[in-house]
Amino acid sequence: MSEHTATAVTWLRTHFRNDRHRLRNAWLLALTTALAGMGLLGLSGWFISAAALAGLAAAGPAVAFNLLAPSAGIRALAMGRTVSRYFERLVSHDATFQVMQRLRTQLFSAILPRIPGPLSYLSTGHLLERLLGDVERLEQAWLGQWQPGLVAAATALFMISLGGLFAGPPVALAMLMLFVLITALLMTLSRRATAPLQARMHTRDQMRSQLVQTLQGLPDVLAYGLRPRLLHEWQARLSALAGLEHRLALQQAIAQALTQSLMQWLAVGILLVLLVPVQQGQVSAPLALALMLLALAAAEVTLPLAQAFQRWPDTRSTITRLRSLTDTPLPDQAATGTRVPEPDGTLQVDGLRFAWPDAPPLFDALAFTVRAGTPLAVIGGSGSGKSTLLHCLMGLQRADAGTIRFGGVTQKEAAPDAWRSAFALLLQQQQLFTGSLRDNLRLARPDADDALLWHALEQASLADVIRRRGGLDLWIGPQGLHLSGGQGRRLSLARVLLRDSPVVLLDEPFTGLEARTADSLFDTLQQTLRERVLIMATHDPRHAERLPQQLTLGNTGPLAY
Amino acid sequence: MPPDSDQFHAAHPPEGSAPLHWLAAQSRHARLLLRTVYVTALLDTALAVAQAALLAWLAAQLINGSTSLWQPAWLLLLVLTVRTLNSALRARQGAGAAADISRAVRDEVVAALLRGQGAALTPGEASTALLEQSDAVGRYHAGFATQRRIAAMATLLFLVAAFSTDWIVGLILLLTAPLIPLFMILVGTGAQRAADRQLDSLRFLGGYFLDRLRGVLTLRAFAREQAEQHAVQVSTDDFRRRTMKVLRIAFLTSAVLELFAALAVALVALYVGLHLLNLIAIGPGPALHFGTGLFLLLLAPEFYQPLRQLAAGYHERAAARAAADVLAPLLATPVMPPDTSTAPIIRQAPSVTLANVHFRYPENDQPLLDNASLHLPAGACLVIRGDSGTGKSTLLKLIAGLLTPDSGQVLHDDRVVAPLSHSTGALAWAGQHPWFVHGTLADNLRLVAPAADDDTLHAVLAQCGLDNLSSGLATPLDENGGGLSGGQGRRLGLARALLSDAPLLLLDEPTAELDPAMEARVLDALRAQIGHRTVVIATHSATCAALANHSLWLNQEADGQISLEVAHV
Repeated sequence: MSEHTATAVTWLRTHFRNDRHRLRNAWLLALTTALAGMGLLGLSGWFISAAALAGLAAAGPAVAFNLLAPSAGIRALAMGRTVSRYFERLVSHDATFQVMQRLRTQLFSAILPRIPGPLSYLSTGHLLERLLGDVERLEQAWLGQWQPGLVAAATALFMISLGGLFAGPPVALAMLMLFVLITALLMTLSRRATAPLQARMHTRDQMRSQLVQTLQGLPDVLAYGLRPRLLHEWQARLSALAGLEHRLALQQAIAQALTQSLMQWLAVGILLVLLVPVQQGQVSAPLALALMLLALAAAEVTLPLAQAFQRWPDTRSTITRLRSLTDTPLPDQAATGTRVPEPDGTLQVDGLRFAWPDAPPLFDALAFTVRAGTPLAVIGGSGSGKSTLLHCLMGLQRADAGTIRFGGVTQKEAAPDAWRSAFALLLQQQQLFTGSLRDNLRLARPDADDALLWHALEQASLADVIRRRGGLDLWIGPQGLHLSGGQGRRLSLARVLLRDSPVVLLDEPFTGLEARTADSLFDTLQQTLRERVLIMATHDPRHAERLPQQLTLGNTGPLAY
Repeated sequence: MPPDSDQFHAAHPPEGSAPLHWLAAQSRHARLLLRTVYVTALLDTALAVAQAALLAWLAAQLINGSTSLWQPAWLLLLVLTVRTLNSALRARQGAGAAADISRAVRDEVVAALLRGQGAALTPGEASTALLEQSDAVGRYHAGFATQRRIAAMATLLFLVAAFSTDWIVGLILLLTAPLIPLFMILVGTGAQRAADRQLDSLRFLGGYFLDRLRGVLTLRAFAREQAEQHAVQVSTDDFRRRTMKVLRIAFLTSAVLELFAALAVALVALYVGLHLLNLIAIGPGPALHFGTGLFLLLLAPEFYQPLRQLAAGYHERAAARAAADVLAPLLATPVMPPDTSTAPIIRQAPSVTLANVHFRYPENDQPLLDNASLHLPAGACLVIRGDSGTGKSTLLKLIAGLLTPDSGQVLHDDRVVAPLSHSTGALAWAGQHPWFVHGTLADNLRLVAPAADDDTLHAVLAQCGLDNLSSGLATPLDENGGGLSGGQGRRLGLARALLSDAPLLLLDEPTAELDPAMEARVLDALRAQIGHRTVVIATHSATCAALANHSLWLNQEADGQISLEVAHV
């Protein structure tokens, strides 16, 4: 556990280091605010008690009393406290958000090359939760946990020295012991809350995934009249969660009551301890009162401590989650050289092998050559490796063995960007981005002008529809949902054509299209791409038969057609 | 555009207040606990006054050189003890109330989602509604909503205590107090608007990340990774700026509160000090001695405490309102279409009729079905074909009663179809995502036919090509279908449909991912159903379509409209 804490602290240090000056300033400002608040009440107490004594002694207007210094001090502390509080918040939040912004960018850059790949075991929803929710939770690591803790520690030191100075070492020692005891108590409470907190997180995670599954299967549930059974199960789950929350409520209440009343007890304790010395004249009465009020005003320093301690386990597990993302090794790159392929219209594959971890190879000793003008159809049942082969060719996935040669360069020797830019790939799954049609097209070619975009749309036989629906500024909605399935497919195709690359790889280009739509698109494509190296993965034998070359993948059982 | 948006506002004002009513009504789930919180909070105020008075008394005795100190000291310790226990009780019951309210809201959310009322929400949004947003409602009632009532009462109590001691100090507190809510309202409206904008920008950021994560292969294929990382930096930077803008306003609000609190302490201290020095002669005069002066000084910071807590909980209110905007419409009782017939459901193949059905998904501007009509005789087999995205699944769901048409009617025989959640399960459904329970394959099948023996189950599994599983009926499944491949899971859905005795069979792509031999087997099984049951199938497969004695093409016209043409085969 302490080891976890140590790694978490190191991690936080590394990420907050760039802003350490501003964070230190924020801490100093917070401390100033706290001390000014304590000073305000302490000075006020000293002032009225000294005034009372002076007034009693004078038995009339006590004109001899130095009024200016304390009243100016009180006003200055009142104003200073407000100003330093405002700036403390501004500085601490701004610095924290800078850290979080960097962290988000870093995490995103870490995730991007690892999916699909080592991080594929996390759903998109989980990854999003890391980028948004987890990073947001870490804001509190400084704002809600470390800064209040450090301010409280400094204030405690200040009060112990004051106590030692005015009331003697025994009082200082007693205060030190009290603070240590309280800290230990809070730590114990936080440790005891760790297990139920984790149980709660687990329960919530489970509920989330069960809900998603249930909603997807909801038609079955409703159609067969199984709803009562499910409701019953959910009620049990919800009761369990509520039970956990009630258990946590008690522990949190104890910690909160403790930190809330700590300084009140201390204030009363100081007064009681000083009763005898004051009566004996060893300590002046105004000073004793000032010390008591000082302690009373320190309550605002201890108030956030309950939450700070309770949330620390959560922070720690958040850090562990994020670390597991950034610590995951990068997948191996397919192209690692520096050479640039010179397009020569020939793609040559020799001895290619690929296997998923712990699985028999999808293909082995695969060899073929595709020349411009003689397209290749890759056929095979689902899961036979059609998409993987295309990804290997483009270098999105590294093959286990074999060579892929294009433009006089093998994939291994080529510079990653140069290799990839020789290829255009139509992915099997639709990937459109929220935004306008123009944004989505320009992804393939950022410098394309409108004429070029329209040309690509013509080739994908989408131009007419788009012209009617408002042109290139058409907002296609989240994931292109404002387009129909067929229109989305053609837009993806237009994007690939726009790229104007010498090798074109099409993965199931006609998914979701009815036969007659698909046929006309197939003819257009063959015409448009007749001078490129074209490879098309398809499960439809009618299209495969119309291409001059065929490659069949998968040796498990009969082919799908 | 402007007249359009005006119309929108004119048509919707009552809906705007409905979520707030709903939110306020949720306190009913924890009335007792909330009352305890309220009472303990008031008690805390009274104890704070008593504590200040006792401290002042003790200090006054000390200053006056009196020796009878132990009586106030013991009383003080007693009050402190009670106050500590009281505040622990308050925190405990507050958290309990939040848990109870969240739980009750969750109960309703689950019930509504299982009625299919969450059709407008993505699964992600639905789980946010179930977990985070239900939490927000509970926290709001235990926090801000209670604190608002407490703040009013506590402020009054403190004022009474102050006025009864010294009217000048009372006046100082009274004059600063109303300024605070006034200022909060002024700043609060601005803060709300800024917070809304910030929430929008958070949603944008979420959507942005989601888009990029989903489309990562495209980004890589187009070598856009570097550019995207830069774009992320720009987006997150923008998000940070917006957040800071919101917070600057919030900080200013709390700075004003703090300033008032600090100034009140300073004013009270100076006033009392001058009085004790006999330098001013307004106010109660000699009645103000050191003890009362200290009491007033101790009271001043306590006076602002409830208001400061209220300001600190402001974000709870914003979160709860945002939650209510989602939850209130979700939990609203659906309007039931009038039941035109009271005849008992006959377990016989029904005819299916669509009469002038109009349907549009809320997020689309184009209707998917416009004035669609069709009639399918009892015991017939209809195959629906068309490109993906043309509404095949939607049509199936309308026939099932999973979706309700915007206008027009769907009838089974002569009965208007009730929303499926209110029917007793008279149809068999095999969709694209079947539902699994934790248990064996047999458990999953017997959900729809509890009395079926193993032989019947084996026969159905064989028809659906699921007879080659090594553990057979005992194959263990989890809730996510773990134990079966995607295609096998889908065939389990089909097996269920065949096993149930429901007279209407609705199948979405029943033969997708099947090889020809297997497809032929499944189609044989389906062919045997025609005549006994009414069958509706959505499919891309031409082989499967040959089963039909009625067929329907969903054509997508250039402008996104759908036309229905039913042909008798």
